[in-house]
Amino acid sequence: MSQTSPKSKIMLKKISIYIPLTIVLFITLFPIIWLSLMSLKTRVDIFTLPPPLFFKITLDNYISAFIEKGYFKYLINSLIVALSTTVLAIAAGSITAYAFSKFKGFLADNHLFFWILTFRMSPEVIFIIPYYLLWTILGLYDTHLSLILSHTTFTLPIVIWLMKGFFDDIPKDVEEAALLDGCSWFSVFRRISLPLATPGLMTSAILSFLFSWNEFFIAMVITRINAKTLPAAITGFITTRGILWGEMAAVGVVVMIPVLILIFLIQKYLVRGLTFGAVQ
Amino acid sequence: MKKKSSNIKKTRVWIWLIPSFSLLIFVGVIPFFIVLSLSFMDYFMLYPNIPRVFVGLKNFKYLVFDPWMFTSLAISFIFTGVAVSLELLIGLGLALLLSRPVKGITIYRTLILAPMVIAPLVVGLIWMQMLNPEFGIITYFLHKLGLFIETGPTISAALPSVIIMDIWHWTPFTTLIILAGILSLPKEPFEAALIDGASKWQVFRHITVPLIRYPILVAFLLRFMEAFKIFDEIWLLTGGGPGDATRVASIHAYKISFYRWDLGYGSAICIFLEYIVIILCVIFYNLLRRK
Repeated sequence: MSQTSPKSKIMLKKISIYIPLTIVLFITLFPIIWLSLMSLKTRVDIFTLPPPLFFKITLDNYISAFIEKGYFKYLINSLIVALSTTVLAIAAGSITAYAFSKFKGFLADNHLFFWILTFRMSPEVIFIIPYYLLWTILGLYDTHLSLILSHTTFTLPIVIWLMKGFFDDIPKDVEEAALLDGCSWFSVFRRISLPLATPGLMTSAILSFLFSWNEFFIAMVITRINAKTLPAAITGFITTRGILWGEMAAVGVVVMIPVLILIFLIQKYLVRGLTFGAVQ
Repeated sequence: MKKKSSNIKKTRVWIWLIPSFSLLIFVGVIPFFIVLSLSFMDYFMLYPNIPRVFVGLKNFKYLVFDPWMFTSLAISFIFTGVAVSLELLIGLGLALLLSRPVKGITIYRTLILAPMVIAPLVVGLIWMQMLNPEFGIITYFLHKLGLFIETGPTISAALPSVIIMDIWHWTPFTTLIILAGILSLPKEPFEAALIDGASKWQVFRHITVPLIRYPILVAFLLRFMEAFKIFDEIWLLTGGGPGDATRVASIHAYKISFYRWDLGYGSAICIFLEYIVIILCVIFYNLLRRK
């Protein structure tokens, strides 16, 4: 059709796609850029209206937040908690996912599989009260361990659901050949299936990390000083004497950047990961 | 092949489940039963010397007739309904735009995802600054345009502000899922329709929409469950206020439990919310299985 129409009509058609897309892209990216700029401004520049197009770029906010106010410790806490949660969920979850994928004869009842998902879907608020009481009684309040375990409630279902889908995709012949050669199921899992499901491992690991890294509600309630993560610590800049916008923006940028990079690594599997395999 | 897998004894299959299930029991099932048992008790943390007493369904009876709970549920449903339906509509439009095979479209498809992965709290922080009534950038430009609309945490503007923030945050999610649905559509029905001389709207209404109904439904259910339990962004942007303007269910449950320290009634609210989400989750699961 378009071959017969004049060139200007094609141009017009293209413009009618690019213009709305560019507007949407601007709306999408502006707040992110705005936060990044804010973290590089002096306190005076943050409050200047209209916002100055050119301003003195300063790293004072980062230095003040991470070195003077000790937020570097919370950054380390965030890393410890998110990485441990991911490792724990992958280690336990991939084994279980494999069982659900391969031993269907014994796990025929899918209700068990569904039941696992309900933990991921539950409102965080339902776990706030019991975690607060449980970790206090066990003497684990405000420790890394308690936060890691709490986050695992939500990341383990992600790993189990995703990994099962990826294990389902592995052709049966490969595993059966190895089984006939006398390998045990566990060595088939470790040597053959797990390497074949590497994209699944990557996806579920990154989505687990993402959840734990971004999580605020639970971290706010069950930590105080020692195990506080960055998102939970951000609210510390809202003081009775006003809000420290610059420092807050600096910490916000540090929370934001790693996940923006990570997510592009698994873009291909993102839909599958976020919908628990419902849309591929 | 069947023989080999049936060689495994039942007990050995359970070994594969032990790591996950012991974890889930410790951090999921036991906490759930703690909440469940607390919801049948009078338990005020402020008076630790008063023993917890079993009161049966008292908390739940109170919940049903509590106007405050009703307000907060209504706010939750208004927020969820408006935000999620707008996210689906905008997402559908964007997905249609992004499905066109024009030059550089993959760059748009990639960049447009960014808000979705940002920590909810950071999203709250960004919008708290942009919507600030005194020096927020959006407020400033609205005033420049002669629109003296209230923004940020004021009584009339709090809920719309929160909804706009949520739309910015989560429309990429619905777009992504619907776009995946559109891109995986078969070509034949569209070619057939073109030959039959169907108009663009007819094609969209009678072919595209029915074919992408499934991804839309998935996006809707997942978004509904997430939006219904929203806490972080609202907590930072408005703190549930002013008054009760943005006191969504999660914030209500949190404030009852940790401000009034009424853990018994707080637990009852949590159990109630849990079951709303579980019902939605069952629908999602049945949808998945029917596929």
